[in-house]
Amino acid sequence: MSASQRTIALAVAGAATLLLVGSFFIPERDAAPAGEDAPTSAANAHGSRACAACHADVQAEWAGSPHALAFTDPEVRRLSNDFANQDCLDCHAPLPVFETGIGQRVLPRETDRELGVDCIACHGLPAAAGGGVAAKRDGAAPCAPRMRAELSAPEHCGACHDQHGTVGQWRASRFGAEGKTCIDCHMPVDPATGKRSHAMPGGGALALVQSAIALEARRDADHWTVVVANVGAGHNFPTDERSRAGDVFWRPLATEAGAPVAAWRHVHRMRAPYRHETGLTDTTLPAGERREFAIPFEPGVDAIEVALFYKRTPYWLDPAAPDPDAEARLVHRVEVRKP
Amino acid sequence: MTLRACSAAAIALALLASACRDRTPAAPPKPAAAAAPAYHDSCAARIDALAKELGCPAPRVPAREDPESSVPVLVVGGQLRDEWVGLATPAAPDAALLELQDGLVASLASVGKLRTLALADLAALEEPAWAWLELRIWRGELEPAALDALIGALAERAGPWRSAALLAIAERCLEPVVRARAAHALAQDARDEWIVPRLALRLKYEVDHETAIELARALAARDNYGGIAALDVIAAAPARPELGARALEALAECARRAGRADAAGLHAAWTNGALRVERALEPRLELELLRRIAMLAAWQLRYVDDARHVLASMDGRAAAPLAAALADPNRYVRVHAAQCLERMKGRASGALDALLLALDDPTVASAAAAALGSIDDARARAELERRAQSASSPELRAAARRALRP
Ligand code: HEC
Ligand code: HEC
Ligand code: HEC
Ligand code: HEC
Ligand code: HEC
Repeated sequence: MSASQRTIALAVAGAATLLLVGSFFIPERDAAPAGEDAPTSAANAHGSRACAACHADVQAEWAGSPHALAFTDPEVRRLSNDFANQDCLDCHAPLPVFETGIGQRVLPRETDRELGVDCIACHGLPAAAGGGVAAKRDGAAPCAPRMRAELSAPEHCGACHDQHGTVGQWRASRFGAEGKTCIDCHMPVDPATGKRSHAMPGGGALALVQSAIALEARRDADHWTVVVANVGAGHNFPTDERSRAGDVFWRPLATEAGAPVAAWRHVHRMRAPYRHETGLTDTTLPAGERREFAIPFEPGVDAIEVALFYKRTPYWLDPAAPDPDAEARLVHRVEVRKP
Repeated sequence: MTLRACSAAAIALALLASACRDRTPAAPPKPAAAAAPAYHDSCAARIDALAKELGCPAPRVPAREDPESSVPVLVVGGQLRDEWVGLATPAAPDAALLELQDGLVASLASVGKLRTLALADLAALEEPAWAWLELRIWRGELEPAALDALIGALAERAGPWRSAALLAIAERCLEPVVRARAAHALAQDARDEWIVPRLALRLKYEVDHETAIELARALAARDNYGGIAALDVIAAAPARPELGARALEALAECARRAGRADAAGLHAAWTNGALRVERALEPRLELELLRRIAMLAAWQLRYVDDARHVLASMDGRAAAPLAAALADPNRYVRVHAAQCLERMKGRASGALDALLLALDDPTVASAAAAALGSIDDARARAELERRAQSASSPELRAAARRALRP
């Protein structure tokens, strides 16, 4: 966010945090009774830490997932002023989804915040309902698995991922009609073990983003045409968190070796604005849709390259001269030439 | 399974029972503890009664399916209106009046005599015409130049639509200078206290320093000092040097109004609740606050965030409706109301008893503990110390401990 777009309220929040950093920065286990051992001690593993002893494989996948980072991710900490902005706790350190209810929003918790979206956040069943963990089937295992079909439902993910209509976008897509749900794409079954992965790749996984979107360019009678299509995402591209953006650029192709490389020129941005960006409209690309753009011929330009970049923070360092190679991630690149 | 893994699993198993209890809702309070408060509607009935009394449509919380928009959309009388106003919406003006309005507004952009005449004619228009003008301002249908001219005509008017229209200009005009002028007009007197919540909300999103200073002044004119934090920020890093001086001046002016020696004294008094506002909430303001409390139940967090911000920016009179909301049947209303009280700090002391009671309701206990921690009170501290030691729920123990931290 550029300085001029920063609301004064944000500055107020920032000023207040400077004083709080000391007390908020070090994650701690508040639920531990006074005098208990350090949190790393196996003997006092509790909450989601206890699951690791028997579900080491799942634990390992989860530990590398965005969910494990929800409270410690440096970008989240920066934007939330180390969670001095308590509005950010709700989904980044939530109570169990099953406690607030499927189809409801989650609420913040007090204990084990540093674990972010942990096992209990998704699996924990309320003590009032007998406790145990939500699973695909009832089981006699020590963790008391209880069959809860809602565990795998999009509305479960929607407790945190539906502030910007992701579940509705999915429902309106062909995937919704086919019953191919969030977990089919984000928790694929490992053919070796027959189990679903908890690594939950998203915008950070290049291969997944590449599979979401197609980029084509062709030469028409009097202009170049660029086409982007959302072919693989089960929702808009991008979706959810408003900081994500997909940008299409073009530039003349340097056809001779050693010729200077031209600067990228912007064609189209796919992004939903933050609520204070009242001048912008939602340009995210719905599932299954395509958009075409015409680029006029220019004298002396016989070939062009077109590229699609994915950006996890919305603003360019220099909006007048964006440098996607340095500030975003290349997803696709195509070339077209005049015959 | 190796022996090692086995013992690790055994330990884990032993701890699992407590683990799952730890992070699931606390068991219902033991018989010895006070029973959780019974839930009762804290705003819906009163909202309807007030709306009836004021003759305005009752506001409704946006449904999850409502379209997203950059501004809160509220359903009024079955129709989507861009922003709810706690004023009686008059019948739609006839085509002739709309045409007249169009002509007058168009003339506002001109210069000289035509403009003077248009202003005079506008000033003579009856209230219903202004009501519809306000709606058109809100919808962004008028040019900044016309809005600028309107401010002059509005400043002199009486009647509730005057503040509503000025507010709409301060909220919606794309030209910062015009927003600042509208806010400045609102800072000239203490009329229409019901605009305080919307002034506070506008200040939250304002990026223009000059407008922000005027919004803070308009708030202070109505005994609300929620804008002084923004004045501090501007004084420290003004967009233009002269605005730094203006912010400092405004701070001094606020301190004088509140009878405090300086800005620091004003800060302290506003935060610890010493600046009491004794007059009763005017019905329109009460309705405005209650509708924000109702919004705490919204699915979209943007509405919740805004409502929380507005309620937490209020003077101590907001503590009573928020205290009642701690026992609302809707869990989100309960928890978010407690969060508002926490952010009000000392101004929330009127909710002390209700907060102590809420400690026995596991669905709000943690948030209530946080609120009690932010009110400097011996009874609250003693109760928090007790809960930090002996609450059966680890969530509440952790919350109480966090709340006791200096
Ligand atoms: C003492 C060992 C142990 C601990 C600790 C433990 N589990 Fe389990 N869990 C098992 C066993 C054994 C099974 C059944 C075999 C399997 O599916 O892996 C199981 C099954 C499950 C299942 C169902 C798997 C299915 O096939 O549908 C879920 C979900 C689950 N556990 C989640 C958890 C969570 C969450 C935790 C931590 C709160 C946890 N478990 C802690 C041993 C444990
Ligand atoms: C309603 C639940 C919810 C709340 C409340 C929430 N977030 Fe998030 N946040 C999410 C989800 C879900 C994602 C991941 C979605 C995505 O990446 O598109 C996310 C992702 C993020 C990311 C991106 C992380 C990365 O590595 O790029 C940041 C930064 C972030 N949130 C900051 C915040 C801040 C700051 C707040 C408070 C103002 C906040 N969030 C409040 C649900 C929430
Ligand atoms: C973001 C939510 C989420 C988190 C966090 C999460 N899980 Fe799961 N987990 C699920 C869902 C959804 C399924 C069910 C998938 C299905 O329908 O097959 C599942 C399935 C499982 C299964 C059964 C796997 C299989 O395919 O047989 C186990 C075991 C499990 N989880 C354990 C854990 C443990 C342990 C943790 C913490 C390290 C954890 N989960 C964290 C959502 C989550
Ligand atoms: C309790 C809240 C919660 C639930 C439930 C939840 N998530 Fe998340 N998810 C988050 C948060 C918070 C983040 C962002 C973490 C970060 O990077 O800071 C996230 C991140 C992600 C990401 C990575 C997004 C990116 O930009 O790379 C994916 C993919 C994802 N979640 C999928 C799912 C799926 C699928 C489900 C349902 C099985 C689910 N989540 C359930 C809170 C949740
Ligand atoms: C057909 C497969 C598919 C389905 C179904 C699907 N997704 Fe995705 N999702 C993707 C792909 C591909 C991406 C990467 C492209 C992108 O960033 O949008 C992605 C990205 C995301 C991201 C990262 C944010 C972003 O757009 O950068 C989140 C969060 C997410 N999905 C959540 C969900 C949720 C929640 C559901 C269920 C309602 C869901 N997804 C259903 C394929 C799918």
